[in-house]
Amino acid sequence: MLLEGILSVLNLQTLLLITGGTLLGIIIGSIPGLTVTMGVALFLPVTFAMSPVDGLSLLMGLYIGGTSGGLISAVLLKIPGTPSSVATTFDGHPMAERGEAGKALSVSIICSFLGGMFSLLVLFFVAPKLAEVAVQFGPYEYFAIALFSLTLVAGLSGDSLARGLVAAGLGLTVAFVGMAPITAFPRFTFGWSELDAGISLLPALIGLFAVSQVLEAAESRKVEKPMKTVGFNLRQMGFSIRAGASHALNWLRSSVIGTGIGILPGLGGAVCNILAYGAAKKYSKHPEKFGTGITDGLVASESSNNASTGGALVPLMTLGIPGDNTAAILLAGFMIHGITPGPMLFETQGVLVYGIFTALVIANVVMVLGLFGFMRGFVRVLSVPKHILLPVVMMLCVIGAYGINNRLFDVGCMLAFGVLGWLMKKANLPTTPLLLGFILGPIIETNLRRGLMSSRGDFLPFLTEPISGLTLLAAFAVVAVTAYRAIRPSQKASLLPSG
Amino acid sequence: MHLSPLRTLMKALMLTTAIAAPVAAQAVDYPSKPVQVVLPIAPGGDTDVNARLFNKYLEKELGQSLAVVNVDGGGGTIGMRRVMSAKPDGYTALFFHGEGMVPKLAGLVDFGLDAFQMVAVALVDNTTVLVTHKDAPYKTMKEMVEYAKANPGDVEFGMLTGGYPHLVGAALEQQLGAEFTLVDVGGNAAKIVALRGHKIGLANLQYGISKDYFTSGDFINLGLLSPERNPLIPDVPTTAEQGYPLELNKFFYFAMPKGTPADVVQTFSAAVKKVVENPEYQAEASKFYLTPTYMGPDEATQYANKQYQALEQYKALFTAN
Amino acid sequence: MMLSKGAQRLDVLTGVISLGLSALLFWASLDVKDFGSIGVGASFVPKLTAVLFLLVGLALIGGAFAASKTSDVPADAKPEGEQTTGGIGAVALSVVLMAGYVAALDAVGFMISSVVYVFLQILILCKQHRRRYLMFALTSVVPAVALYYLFVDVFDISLPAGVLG
Repeated sequence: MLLEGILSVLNLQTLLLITGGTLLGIIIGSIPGLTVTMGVALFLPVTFAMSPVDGLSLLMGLYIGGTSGGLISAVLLKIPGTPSSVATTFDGHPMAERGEAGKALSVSIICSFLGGMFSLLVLFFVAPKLAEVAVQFGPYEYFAIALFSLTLVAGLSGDSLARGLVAAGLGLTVAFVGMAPITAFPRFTFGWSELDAGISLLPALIGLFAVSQVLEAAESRKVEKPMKTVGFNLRQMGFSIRAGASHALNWLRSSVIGTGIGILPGLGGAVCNILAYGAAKKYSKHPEKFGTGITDGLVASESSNNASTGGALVPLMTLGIPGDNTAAILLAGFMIHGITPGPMLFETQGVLVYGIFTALVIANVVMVLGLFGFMRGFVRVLSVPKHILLPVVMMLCVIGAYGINNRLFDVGCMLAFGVLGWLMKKANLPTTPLLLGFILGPIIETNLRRGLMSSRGDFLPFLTEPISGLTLLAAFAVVAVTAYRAIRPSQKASLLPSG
Repeated sequence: MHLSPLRTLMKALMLTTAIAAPVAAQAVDYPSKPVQVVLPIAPGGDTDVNARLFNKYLEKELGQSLAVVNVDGGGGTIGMRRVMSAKPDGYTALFFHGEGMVPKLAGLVDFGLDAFQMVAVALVDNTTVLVTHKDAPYKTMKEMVEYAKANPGDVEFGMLTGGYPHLVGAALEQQLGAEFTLVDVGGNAAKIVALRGHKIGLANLQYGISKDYFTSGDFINLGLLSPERNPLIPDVPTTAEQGYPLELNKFFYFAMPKGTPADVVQTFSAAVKKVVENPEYQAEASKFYLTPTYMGPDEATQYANKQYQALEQYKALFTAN
Repeated sequence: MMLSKGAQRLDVLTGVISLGLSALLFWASLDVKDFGSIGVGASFVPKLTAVLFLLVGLALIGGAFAASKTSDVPADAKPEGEQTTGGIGAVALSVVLMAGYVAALDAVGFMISSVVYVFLQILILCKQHRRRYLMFALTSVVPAVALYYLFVDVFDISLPAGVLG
């Protein structure tokens, strides 16, 4: 059956579909504003007329390519192409500014591949077992994990914990708007029905990263010089591979985080790259160098976000549960052919399952080759003057913000977040805690309230359930240590730039 | 992408007919451009798949492409508002299911399906089954009801507060005279996870997404919530057979803004009817356990009203809990 | 902590904003509609966040005042200005331009409004004295038209067509 599955993909048409899907995915992912979710959604109807193997191969190619493509604009433009490459901007862009764009891209690409392959191995060998663990996670566990992730704000707030907390609070506040979790009554909408649906992540992200840059460029009085693109040669790529080898532990940890978070429905790639970055910084021997343009940060972010792809496929293929919007569309890619992923998928559709595994492996390989192939062209983007590049990027962002939900309201949100991002920069407030608060806030609140509903108002199970209790203990420890360090006098204030 | 060759062809055709027969062009002036079909949900769910599948055939009948537009959010109200406020010219239509009435029942908004011109009911999904997991203290509908009566509040029913399943839970409690604990877990996918992890003991699910779990033995099917067996799943007994006549289905329909000209509504509705009667489509729909069902504008309006009234009796339960 | 006067002022400002947000959030949480559900309601976490803002705001202001007694670091020097356009004026202009762009999307359509927006935004962003207007015009027209057809005809994403539709 394994062989049959592999063979089902090894024909010219299917291979072309995977390759084309992956390359298109890379391009869609690399364009600020267009995300992997959109790419997969665009091509879903195309797969109607194809055989299940062909259709899903195309979608998987788009999924892998789109998730990886985000690293390009993250490194080159400091705009994450997709929410899952936010942390790639932290170190990737400083490197590009130093003229090390080639190196930053190479490291990111290799880590993307290694992270992706790690998660595929996990998916291949232990998916059903992991799914078994994932279904045991209820509101208590989700609450604890999300809260623990939020405490990372402490490590990613730059030089002032207080400022990080203000930013995180802003993120939480923005996420409150719209229908409240559980009760579904609109809150903080001030009677404006457009706000009933709340504020989507993507317009907020594009606004914070892309629009704010346009405003910064407008403010700047300097005559800009095109960025250097030196350091783009093969020798440096060789160096990058060696560097990658020395980052084995970082890679492994980040891949585990990515896969683990990917498996839990609802968290996904947007969280895991920041989480992995935070963890890498925490365990690093030189945390102060994070954010200045070191490869450690890239290894963490890019291994973890690609590792989340295989992770997200675990509940999708073994339980029929989509972990995020992209997975929901992939699920539709199965359903459209009358195939419902679930506990029987591996038995009833074995050939298809192994075909998909093969397609994923091929997509990962094509992704690496494609990215390296495109790299020379992409780096050239840096030589385009900013006053030409940014307005065009802005136009793409408008398409992206409009395209996710066909609402002008989202475009307006993007603009508002652009202004907010610019103001925050003025006020020296870091944006990463805002994003964390924004993404994690609803998860924390929903699961807190769900947990309390099932415990009939009792807070105790949050502490007594083993997984959630231990996670909360760890969260408390992180906060306590950070607070102690912040309060302890005569401690040399670290001069980290904010994330 | 799938539409562009078709669209080009249509443009060419229209151009030819316009030149060749300027008189005839007037009689068939609707639709003369692509029709936007608003889906008030995110891409990927069953409504999305159903709409796209249906539209594939509807495009051929209408002779125009249909642009599916997902406008998600607010429990469907954002997309519904979009259609309500669109120009009533027949070029904006809503495709949705019965849940469109729930926000009004929950007191979230002041409009329901009555704010629309119903065009047609196109599909009925008559596969809502009551499901429990293998380690629950009951294996049949009868045992479940007896258990729930003997142990009030012990049966945990998974639902999404303020959503359709919440109503279902409230309705079941009342009709069965039993007391459940309604546990908020989320949508369909989340209900499966919660059942699988034994966090809840009862949920209503569509047969299609739960059938694998019946095969694997993880879940137990307590019965179909329908007065009669569904010919698409003839082996699934109904709850009525077991002495509990309950009815729950999911009907999918097209609607347009109020004030859309009657002939436009008729043209669209007639095209829907042709698709429903198309054996090719019926064969495809049966793969999803869907029953293509046509109801014209008036019949569809009455049907929707009847459903609303049926649900309204639980309104108090719904908002009180 | 050695904080410069500028940083102290910023801390106080951030603290004040934080306190303001706390008050606003708390006030807005008061009339959140809710079911009488078990556990905590829809206003619980927002109120908790209001408390967070309150504490952090106080900490920021308190910290800045404590530092002001000991600190004698001079205020940050202002970077010397060059003879180019820019500054808050350019930012405000850009924001107005973007807002106009978004407002015009539906009525005027994606293509025309994008062309106008990109051209004007380039003018704001370009700090060089030598301005190549023909190149600017091309940069605004070609991508807008190309992207419109790419997305609308190939990808089937319905961008507002406006007057051209």
